[in-house]
Amino acid sequence: MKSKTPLITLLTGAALGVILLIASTLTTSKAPASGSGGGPGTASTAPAASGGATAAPTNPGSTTAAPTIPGCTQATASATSLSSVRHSPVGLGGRPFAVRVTPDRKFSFVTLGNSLAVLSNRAGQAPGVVHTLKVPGANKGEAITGDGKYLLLATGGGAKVLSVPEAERGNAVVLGTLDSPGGRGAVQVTTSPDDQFAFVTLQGSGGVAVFNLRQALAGGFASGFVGLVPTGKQPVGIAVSADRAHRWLYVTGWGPPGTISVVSMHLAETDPQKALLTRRPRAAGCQPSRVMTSADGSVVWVTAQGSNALLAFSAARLRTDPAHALTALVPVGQNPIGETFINGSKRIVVANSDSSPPSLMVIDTQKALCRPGKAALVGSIPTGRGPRELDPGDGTTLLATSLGSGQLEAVSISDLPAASGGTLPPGQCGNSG
Amino acid sequence: MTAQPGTSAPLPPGRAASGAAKFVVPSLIGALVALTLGVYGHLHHPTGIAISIAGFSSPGSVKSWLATAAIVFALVQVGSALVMYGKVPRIAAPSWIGGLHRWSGRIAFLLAVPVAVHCLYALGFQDYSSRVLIHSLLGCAFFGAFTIKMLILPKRDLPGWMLPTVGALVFTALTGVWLSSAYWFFSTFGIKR
Repeated sequence: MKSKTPLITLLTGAALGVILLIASTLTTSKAPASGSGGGPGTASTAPAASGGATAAPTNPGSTTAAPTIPGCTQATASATSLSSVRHSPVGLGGRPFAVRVTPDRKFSFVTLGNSLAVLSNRAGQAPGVVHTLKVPGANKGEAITGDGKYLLLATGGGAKVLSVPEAERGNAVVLGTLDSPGGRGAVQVTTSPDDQFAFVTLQGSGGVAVFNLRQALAGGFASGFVGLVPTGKQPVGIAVSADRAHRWLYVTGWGPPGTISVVSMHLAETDPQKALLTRRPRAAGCQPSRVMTSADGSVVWVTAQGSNALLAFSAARLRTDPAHALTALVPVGQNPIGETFINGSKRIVVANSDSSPPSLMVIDTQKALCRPGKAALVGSIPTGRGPRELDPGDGTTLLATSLGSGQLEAVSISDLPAASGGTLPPGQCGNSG
Repeated sequence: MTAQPGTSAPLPPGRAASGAAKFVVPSLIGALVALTLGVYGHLHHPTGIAISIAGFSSPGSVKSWLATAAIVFALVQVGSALVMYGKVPRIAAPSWIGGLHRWSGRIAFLLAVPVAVHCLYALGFQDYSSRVLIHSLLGCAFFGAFTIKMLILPKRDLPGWMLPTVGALVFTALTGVWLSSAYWFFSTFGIKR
């Protein structure tokens, strides 16, 4: 009996390996959550679109037709004006592009072109400008590390790294610059959940630059560039999957053709050249701009600027069945770019960057998935010209940059009509936000 | 890694050839295991993810800690083997040393399995740097060598040097795997990510 124990050990290990392999296969092949599908969808139609933008019912598994990837269109949707919603403009000057609120919610930073506005937040009120710092190249996206210590400003072939506490005190202390060899056209920047890595979309270089932020900080920025994830033409938007494991990075390619790419976070950090999971670009409408994911990571929301639409993709199907990944299409205003969740993810706000009159559009998240089309539109909020990027702030005041009018708009979220979360059977269309 | 002293005593000269012959089949099977793992890792398109273990900040962290635990148990294996073979002066082998040796080996092996599954399924056989290539080769070699050791353990008429040699190869491969992965991971990203 004793002589058989080595064989038993070997077979036990082999069995464990097979079980783990099967479990891994199941993990990667099934949807991470049922959030993007399940319930019966009802047909609806998008505005007549020159590029064939037809919206339709949305739920995978429903008996009705799935929505098709929209083309480019001039058609826009309109919604009830939510004129009762209080919104206060804060004059900043310059060309406000991105806005980010610090993790402690006390300050907001807005990129203005070659300067950075530092604003002090006040609960329920518009933030006030406390400093305007001269920072050459601060004209694109930004990110603040989770520990609130560092502000990353996308610029050139990477990002400038500033000290947040110093910026709050009015000092523009640039700790260093993350730079990629030959990289250009930085648009958006984000960090890994542990703040170890930074990812920058390089619109001019066809990829996402990966930087070891901690290593760069520790080594005086002498090193830190890990590599470039070759995502394809004109990458602009980027988001880390909000699921617990933060396994994925989603990147929109402005195109043409407009695409969305799925990147393995783990491979991006270790072997960027091989981190692209979507070997062929996945179509994502006309000029997809910004991307964000639901809290459980199951739904990926994309603003398709040239399609005048908000698109919802099943995260799992983007990897496994991309032809059927689009689960919902909501027609919105002209040239939607910025997007964010509010009201505990029950609502999505989209910045219609070229609408007339300029507006933010509010969308009911659950309706967008269950009854897509105009039915999901809650209303529109007037704003300054050229609304661009959004930050949900402290949950009571939404912040929106207005690039054309040099303003930051502070919108009172509590003035919005009550969310209609209970009108649909719970769970029928899943957890969308 | 379940060496049992006393089962590999020196053989009469006439039986050495027979013992060596008995080593060939396990060796071929072990080579096949290593080759299969390498081919699978090369052909399978890496998914970037595999089944995850809660409580760790990243897959790299999980694997590094599991591999470190495996190397600790492997060190116990080596230490207990030296005691069993009387190679440690002034320390007599206690009665429980055999059990310690066997169980530390089993645990080390079972800890290494999830790491290997993640490597092969999520990342595949990679060669984009010397470190990674060495890691990929040693990872496959470890499981091949371990298979050989498990298959020759029950055989009674092998040369006395064979089992310790194979055991040393297994330990060397595992150490190389750990140095090229977990050690690199901790020294690059820090112990606490």
